[in-house]
This record gives sequence, structure tokens and C-alpha cells, in this order.
Amino acid sequence: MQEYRFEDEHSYLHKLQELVDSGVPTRKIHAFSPIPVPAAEQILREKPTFVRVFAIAGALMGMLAGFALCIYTVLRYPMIVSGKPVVAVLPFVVIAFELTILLGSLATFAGFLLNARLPYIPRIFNPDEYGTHFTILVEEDR
Amino acid sequence: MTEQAIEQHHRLERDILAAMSRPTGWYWVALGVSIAAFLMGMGLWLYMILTGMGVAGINNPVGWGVFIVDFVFWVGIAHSGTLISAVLFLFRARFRSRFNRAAEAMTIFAVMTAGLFPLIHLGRVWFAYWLFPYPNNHLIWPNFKSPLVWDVFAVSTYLTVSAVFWYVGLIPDLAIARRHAKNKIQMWAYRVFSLGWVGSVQQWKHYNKLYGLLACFATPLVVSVHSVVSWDFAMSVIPGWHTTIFAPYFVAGAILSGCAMVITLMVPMRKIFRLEEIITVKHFEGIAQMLLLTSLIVTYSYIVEYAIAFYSGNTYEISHFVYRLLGAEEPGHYRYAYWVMVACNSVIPLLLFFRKVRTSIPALFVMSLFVNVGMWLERFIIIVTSLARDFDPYAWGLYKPSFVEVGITIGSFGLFFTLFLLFCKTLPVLAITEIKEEYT
Repeated sequence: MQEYRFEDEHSYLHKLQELVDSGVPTRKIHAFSPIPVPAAEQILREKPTFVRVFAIAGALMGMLAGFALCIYTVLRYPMIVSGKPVVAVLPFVVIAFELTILLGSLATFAGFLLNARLPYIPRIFNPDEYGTHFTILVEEDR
Repeated sequence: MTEQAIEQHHRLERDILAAMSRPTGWYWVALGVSIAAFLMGMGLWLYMILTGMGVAGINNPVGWGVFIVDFVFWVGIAHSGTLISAVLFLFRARFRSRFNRAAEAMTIFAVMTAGLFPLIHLGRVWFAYWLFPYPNNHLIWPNFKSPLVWDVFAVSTYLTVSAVFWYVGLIPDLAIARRHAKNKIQMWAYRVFSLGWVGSVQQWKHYNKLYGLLACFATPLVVSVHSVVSWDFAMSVIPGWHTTIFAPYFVAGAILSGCAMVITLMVPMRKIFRLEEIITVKHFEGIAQMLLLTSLIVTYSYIVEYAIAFYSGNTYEISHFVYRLLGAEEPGHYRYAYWVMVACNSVIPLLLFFRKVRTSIPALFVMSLFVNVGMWLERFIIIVTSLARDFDPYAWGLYKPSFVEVGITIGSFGLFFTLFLLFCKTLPVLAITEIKEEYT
């Protein structure tokens, strides 16, 4: 494993570009930074993240769950309250809305953990520390 | 990135994490006072549980008193945290990075404090779980047409989502704190909670998406929560409550009170932890402008509220609003509350139009205290005066908070400050990574 450490973002990006241009396959390059560097994603030709799929799936599930909960429960005990229809959609929108947000956020968070492979137990016990450095590790050919 | 920026990165980590160093004597004094206040509040709650709700001042017709006022007040305080972290994130407001961590912590602690009050107000707190939908042998379910049940969903969703949002923001900073840990317990705590974060390109990619999406979820949520709280009132027919302006009126008020509380907390924090170089007057000016904007919206709502009442031609509405403004002849009729509120929320913040006031930290601090008082009074006026005078003069009544209610209110401040003081010493008080990004 070859290691390059940089104090600043520009030399880090420069080196990344140089490595990619010199024909090192991107899967062999591991790059770490103390702050997000979106340009590095482009250089390494990273695929777009799937986290948004989790967000949409969670939000839709939350909305359906909200309506389902309200409608199912009123039908189980159909009592007319203040002259309103038993299945009153308008008030149920509030519950469905809150559950949309709740499940949407939780699913997004879960999606992040799955995609970013966190929590990563070996690193909890033995964290790789690059400090304030911008670091590139290159796997060597065997 | 220049040499200077690199140096700044190191300095930032050092300065911000220095806040977590060994506390001074004053910290222990503050913590002691806060815990004592909290314990007193809990003691009074226990007294109320053992004796009965009669020890609270609430009566017929004023069945909602200081407990509900406190609930709305604390939920309101909570709002600016998410506003600063989510809405200003989407608008890319630069001053947000200095306040978001503490403001989000404030949000969570304020929602936790707020969440206690419906429980206290319940009386039989051991039946609190009846509020949640769960299969039971009575085969009955909560009434989902009731705004009180909406409130349960809104507030618990708000607590969960803001906690997730806060934690997500903390992950890279916990990884920084992990390197600077001073003892074994700290080290392991930061190691576990930073989840093995290393800041690889892939992690940042997913992280940035997550943060943006959470901001998108939190933005409508923050608007919905106080709207739902306002519907606790607006859905009923009581004069002074039954109006369509309530939702935006409450949301603006919530943000006003929240910004004020952020200033109240951040001014001493900045001073004590010597963060003057990081949080500059310019950043405070940003939040002062938000305070001014929301104060103007609140003032507008006060005016429109009267316009709606008078334009409706409804005798009960009109006479109620006249009562709010002037009180009745006899003493004890909340006559001054309305004017103190207008002074605190509408008149005093007008001074923020002057740049000199906006950029003076002591002036901002004093003003934030006035707004805190004003916003508490606003909730008191809305809730108590409306109930005290509804339709039938025979059913009118007056309400005075009892010592139990006052004590529990003080206890809630104790809880809030206890949690905030503990936060200051255990977690990075500013969003280190985000501030670093600005310095590149």
C-alpha cells in the first residue's frame, strides 16, 4: 500500500488526477479527506449514491402507513365523532404527513449507514487516523 | 488552500475542543443551580401526583394553564434549531455554521422539556401510553380526527428527526474528537459514536446526500409541528382561538422565540469558551436580522388577528379582543400582559433596524431576554385569556398560576439548562467540519 499525505486540498486533488491519468484503476485508489471534497468524486468517477432511493421508499411507506393506520383503526371501531365521516381523509393527512417525514428520515439514515458501510466494527476498535491530512492510499499490484 | 488555512484548521480543532476541557468552578455552580431547580420541579410534580390536580391553579373555565403555556413555549424554542440547521442550509446562509450545532442541541433539549408538560398536565401520567395507537383489549384506538393526537405524532416525529439530524451532523466531528480524547472513557465513547468514520470519498458522497435529504425532510416538518400545535387551539370554537391565521402566526412566533433563545445561550457560551474569533459579530448580525424579520411577521400577525376579529362581525370575537386589549374594570384581568407582550415582541426588536444595535452583543443579549419573556406572555395571553372569557358571562372565570405551576416552570428551565451544560462539556459545541470547509 502506497501512501500519500497532503496538507491541502489542491495538491490532494492534483495527485488524485495524476494517479487516475497514469492508469491506476480507480478501485485501487482509496482517498480520505477531513472535509468533503466533491471534486474527488468526479476524478474517481464515483457512481451517484443510492441514498435518495431509500428516502423516497421510506417517505412513500410512511405516507401509506399513516393512511393505513388511520383508516384501519376507524373501521375497526366506527364511531361518528362530531358529525364527521368515519373515514375522514383531511384530518388523516396530518398523521400521514408526519409519518412520511418520520419514516422518510429514518430510512434515509438507514440507507446512509448501509451504503457507507457504517458502523464499521474493526475501525471502531482500531480507527485509521489521517488527522487533518488529505490522504491517498494506492493498492499495489501483486 | 493556503498555509494560513491549514494553520486555521488546526487552530479550529484546538479552540473548539478546548471548550470540552476541565470545567471551571462557575460551571459547577451553574450546573448545580440547574439541577437543583430541576429537582425542585420534579419534587413539585410528585407532590401534585400524590395530592391531585387541585394543587395547580387550573379551574373551570380555564382548564389549560401554565403547563400548556410552557409546552407551547418550549416547542416554540425548539423551532429555530431546525430552522437554522435545515432551512438556512438549503438557502446556503453562511452564518448558520456558527450556530447550528448548539441550536440543534437546544432543539432537542427544548422538545424533551416540552414533551414533559402534556404528561404533567395529564394528571394520571401513568396512562400516558393511551395517547399512542397500540392494539389493546378494549379494541379502541386514538381519535385520529383530534388535533391532540396529531400533536403526539408531530412532536414525537420532531424529536426523532431532529435527533437524527443532529447526530448525523456530529459524526465527522466525533471522529475529530476521538483523536483528541483525554481519557479512556471519552476515547471509547467517541470511537463508538463516530461509527468508525474515516472520511473516505465514498463516505462523504453518501453523507452529503444524506445531509441534504434530511434538510429537505426537516424543513416541512418544522413548519408542520408548530402548525399542529396551533391547531390544538384553532380547531376548537373558543373566541380568540378559532382563526385561520393561527398556523403561520405560531410558526413565526416559534422562530422568533427560538432565535432569541439561541442568542441567550450563545452569547455567554462564546464568552466563556473564548470563541470570539470563530463566532464573530458578523454572525450575530445574521441571526439578529432573522430576529427582526420574524418580529415583524409576529407584529403583522397581532394586527391581522384584530382585523380578522373585527371584520368577522362576530360579537364574541370582538368583545374578546377588546378584553385582551383593555382588560376588565376589576383587578387581576391580565390587563398589562398584552402591552408588555407587544413591547417585548414588537416594539423593542424594532431597535434592530439600527446597525449599532445589531452589532452590539450586550444589546442583543438583553433584547433576547425581552423576547423570551414576551413570547412566554404571548402564549399565556392566547391560552388563558381566551379560556377565561368565552361565550357566556355566567361561565367566565379567572386563573392565577399556583406555586406548583410556577415551581414546575422553573424546574423546566432547570432541566433545559442542565442538559445544555452537559452538552457543552461532552460534545463539540460548534460544527468543526463545516467551519473548516469555509476556511478552504
